[in-house]
Amino acid sequence: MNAGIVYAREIGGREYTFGVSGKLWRDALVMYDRQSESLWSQVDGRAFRGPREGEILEHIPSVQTTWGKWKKLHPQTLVLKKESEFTSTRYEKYFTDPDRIGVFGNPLKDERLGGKVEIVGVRAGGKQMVFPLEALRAAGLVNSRVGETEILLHADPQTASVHAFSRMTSRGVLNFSKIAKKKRKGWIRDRETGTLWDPRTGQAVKGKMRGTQLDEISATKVFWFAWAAFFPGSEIWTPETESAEEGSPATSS
Amino acid sequence: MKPTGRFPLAGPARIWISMAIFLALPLTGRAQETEREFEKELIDGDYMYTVLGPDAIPAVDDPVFVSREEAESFMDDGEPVIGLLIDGEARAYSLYHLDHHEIVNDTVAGRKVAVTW
Repeated sequence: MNAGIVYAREIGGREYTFGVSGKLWRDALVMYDRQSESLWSQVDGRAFRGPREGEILEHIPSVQTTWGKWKKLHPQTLVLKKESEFTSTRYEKYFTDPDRIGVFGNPLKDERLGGKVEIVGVRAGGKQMVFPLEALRAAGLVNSRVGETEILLHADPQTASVHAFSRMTSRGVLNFSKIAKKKRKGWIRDRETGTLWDPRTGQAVKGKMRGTQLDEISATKVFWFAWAAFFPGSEIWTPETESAEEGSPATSS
Repeated sequence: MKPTGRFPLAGPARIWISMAIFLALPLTGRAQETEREFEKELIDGDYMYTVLGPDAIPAVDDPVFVSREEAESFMDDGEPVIGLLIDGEARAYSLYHLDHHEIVNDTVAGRKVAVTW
């Protein structure tokens, strides 16, 4: 699976605590809540069995990075204490073997990509789009659209993590470009108002829209086979000739 | 492995099968090829397998946190983490550590969250 996902464990004022069910569905972790013992899938946060069936947990943006990079960005960070010494992953062989698809070796359902290709899956308004991680990292910044939602993806070279935001604001849909100048701290600029933004937080840091916050969108880094099992209708993004470098023609899709 | 009867399993009858699988068996602490029988149930076209009993992999319900300085004694710079930032509060969860728990029930800046891996 290789997916770290954070969910709000509260729905409509009702608090849940989750345990590991010991079950696997679509090769992914099945959680249960201790309150109703409903079964929830980790990949989409949906209860598929039990009294809470049909409820969906709200996804909370998080990043997957390394300790060294995280602590540099957040020196005040707290760290979950280990009860014993864990210094490696027990799943290493599984993660690195391209032929090993899922725990049960279920056949790959959608061969548009290799099963072990790392992707970022974005969901918005009932539609899904898949961004192969390697191509996304090469692009760095992508203006795209999922269903009716105009989105921005940013692959952060510093933390190796990916952030996704809506490009829809009070000033309409914005198109973002990287800024060539190195000293701009990795900020980006929108073509419509010229405002400078921090693509890691989605905040306008300088210019007309300063103080505005882009809405963050659920983006999940996961192996393709696992995503394909849950979201078979996903569109797959391919880098076009489009470039998000400044001075290139505007692209809105 | 026996059915636990603990979860509300509806739908078709439980089926027992035998197959050779790759199983990342957390109880043994390492991956191994093995032949075992697992209870399985078809849900929306895909089998759900019962591999372990509930809580055989224990979620963390009362997480304890330490400062960055203190964490240096057990964290490596290259160690993969989930980083979470809510209202200025930053937390890191080692994936090597989460391998053994898969879920942390936490509260960050007043938000109740489940960190899952």
